[in-house]
Amino acid sequence: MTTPHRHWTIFVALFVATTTLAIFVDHRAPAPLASAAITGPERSRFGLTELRRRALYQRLVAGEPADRAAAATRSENAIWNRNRDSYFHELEWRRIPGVCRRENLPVWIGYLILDEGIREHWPAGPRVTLYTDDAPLAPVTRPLSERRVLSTSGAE
Amino acid sequence: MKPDDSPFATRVAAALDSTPLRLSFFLLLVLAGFWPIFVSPRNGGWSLDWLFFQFFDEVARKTILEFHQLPLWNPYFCGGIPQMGNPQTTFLVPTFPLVLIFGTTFGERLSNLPVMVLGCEGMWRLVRHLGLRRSAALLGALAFPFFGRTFAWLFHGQHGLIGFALSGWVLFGYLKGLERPRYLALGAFFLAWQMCFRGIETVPGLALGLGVWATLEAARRWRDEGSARAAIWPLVAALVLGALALGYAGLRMAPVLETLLRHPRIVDETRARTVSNAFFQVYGLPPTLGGFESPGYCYVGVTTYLLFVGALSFARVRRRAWIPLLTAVFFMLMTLGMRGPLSPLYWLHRLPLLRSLRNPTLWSCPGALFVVLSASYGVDALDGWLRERGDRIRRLARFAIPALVLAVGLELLVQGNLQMVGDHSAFTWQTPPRVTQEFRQGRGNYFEFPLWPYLDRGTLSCYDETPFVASAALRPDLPSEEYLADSDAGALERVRWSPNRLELKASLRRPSTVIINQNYDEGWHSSVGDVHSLKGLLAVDLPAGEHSLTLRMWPRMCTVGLCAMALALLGTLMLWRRPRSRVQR
Repeated sequence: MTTPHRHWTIFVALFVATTTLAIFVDHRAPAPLASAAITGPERSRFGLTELRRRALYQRLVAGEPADRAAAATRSENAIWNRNRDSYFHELEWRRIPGVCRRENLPVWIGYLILDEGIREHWPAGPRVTLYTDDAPLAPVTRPLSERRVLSTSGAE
Repeated sequence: MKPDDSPFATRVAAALDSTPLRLSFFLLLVLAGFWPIFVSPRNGGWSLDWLFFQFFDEVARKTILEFHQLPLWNPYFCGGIPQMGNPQTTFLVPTFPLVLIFGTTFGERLSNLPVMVLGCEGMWRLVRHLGLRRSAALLGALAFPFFGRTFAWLFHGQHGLIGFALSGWVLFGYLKGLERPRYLALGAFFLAWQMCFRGIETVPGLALGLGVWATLEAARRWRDEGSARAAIWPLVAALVLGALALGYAGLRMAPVLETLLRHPRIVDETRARTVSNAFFQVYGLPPTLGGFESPGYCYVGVTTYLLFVGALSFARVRRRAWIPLLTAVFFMLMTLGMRGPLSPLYWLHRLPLLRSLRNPTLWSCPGALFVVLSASYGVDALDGWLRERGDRIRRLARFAIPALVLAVGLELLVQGNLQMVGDHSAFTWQTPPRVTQEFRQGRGNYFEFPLWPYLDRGTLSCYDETPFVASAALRPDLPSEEYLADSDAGALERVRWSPNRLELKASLRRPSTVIINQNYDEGWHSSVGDVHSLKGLLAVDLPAGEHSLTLRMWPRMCTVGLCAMALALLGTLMLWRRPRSRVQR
């Protein structure tokens, strides 16, 4: 039995409609761009002067000692991680957006200021010792058999 | 068409027999089930898994679109790890152009649409090939691709695992290939697709299912025909299909297999499931958004499950459906987990590749495929039995059975939708803007995986289930990512940077070592000097003088993979020229 052409027309029409919908949805939300260039005498970046970024950096890292201390007292709960301070990074992941929210900054700018501060060795502020990581980094990810799996519920 | 069929029933049957109308129907259902994917297209998924897989696809997309290179190496993660050889990546699949065109977040979601439509069609063809009625084929086409895990994978961000929906094509290609060997290539194509779509999780299950089916089919032929030649063909065909699939996916699978053998994921698996959980709760209870232990993990619909039980209970169905039934029960036994030497998983977990699979509940996914296939036999038998009754019941069956099957499909769609939009949207992570700057390694944070490639930063904070080697000497605070071991020996300048190719200019007064702030890998080759590992970092020994140094990444296993692809294509040609198998079903 041959398939009538109009059947294929129906399928092609549906396919085109779906593609059009996808294109429409995609075009309504264009991917944004931003510049990382440092400009002007005040070395501004993302509309923030270097002086302001340095101040923000100190606020971003101010909670690190407390997070390091908290991480040291608790067992790691990630099944896979490369470094022993995964718990620190989990705490940092909650802390950085909090600071950014208070400072009215997008989170990605917060992380780029943190990156810039670490790279440029900006002063971290009083009573804050900054570690680049849980040095030395573990040479490989540790096999699962060496880890105590504390939790496997929730998302896989 | 039977003489007593009504014009409406005849028209519905004709519509279902028409491939484009059937595909249109499946597409409409898939759109209805997956409509939340069109909301907030730039947002990533809420879960760490979503972020993890968005990250890998974004790196692949960036490598292709910005650097015009094949994604061989991922410098954005852990100081640089293989991208082609990473079993978790999902870029070498036919749907990846959607990611390239629509961006990672939206493209990944859109990839689900063609996979699901094809998945429905594959199951339809498989069930029809098994000689069952349209109602049975419709049940297979809806209940398996829309089973509970499909929506949970989408919600939780297990991108790629949805490729498991293509399993119907693999079995169809295999079974049809037993008669016409060229169809083995079709099955192999879809298996290769699954392999490249993060098949590390799903392919072992499907391959095992295929192996069990092939063994049972061989036993059937031995019993019925008493010929070793007839009995061995199903096993040979399964091996041919598997070898062809590995060949088609060679460019990816050769480096992946090297990774798996070099850095095996060691899983200390001790978990076990209850009989009630493994045999019933996983498939028969409505799904929740929980993890492995939750009921409805692989929900196929209450009706489907009852039909499966019916197929298991009635001898008339059991005789026809014994192969899928036994295969389903085998996977239920696997789901029981590590219950000692009497458990199949206890032994299979000792095999090299299966050893790296964790959690026995994962075996319920291939289990769902065979539960649905068995249920298709069940609905076929029920349909047939009702049609043998009086006229009234026959007329009733003509509408009641398709309605029952459609109700199963709709229920699964509604359950899936409720999962995705119930508590909160699956897509809430705000993708940052693209910030173009010189690539540098940063301290990063692996809880924000996808952030880093958008910002041209690598994250040294990372995790991966594969224990890739990473150097302890990686730094997030270097003034330059490429430097000389002896800083007084001369000057070093970055000319051009890309993931697979680094161009540097060195001016040396005396011999020195160039150090790159990335992990060493055997795939790196240099235009000048010797590439080696220095405390795990990528390093090149250079003599004194002016040098234009180019470092290129090409894993030797990719060459092996390309050869395997060529061999597989040659094998396909041979299959194409091969006449029908003399050994018929």
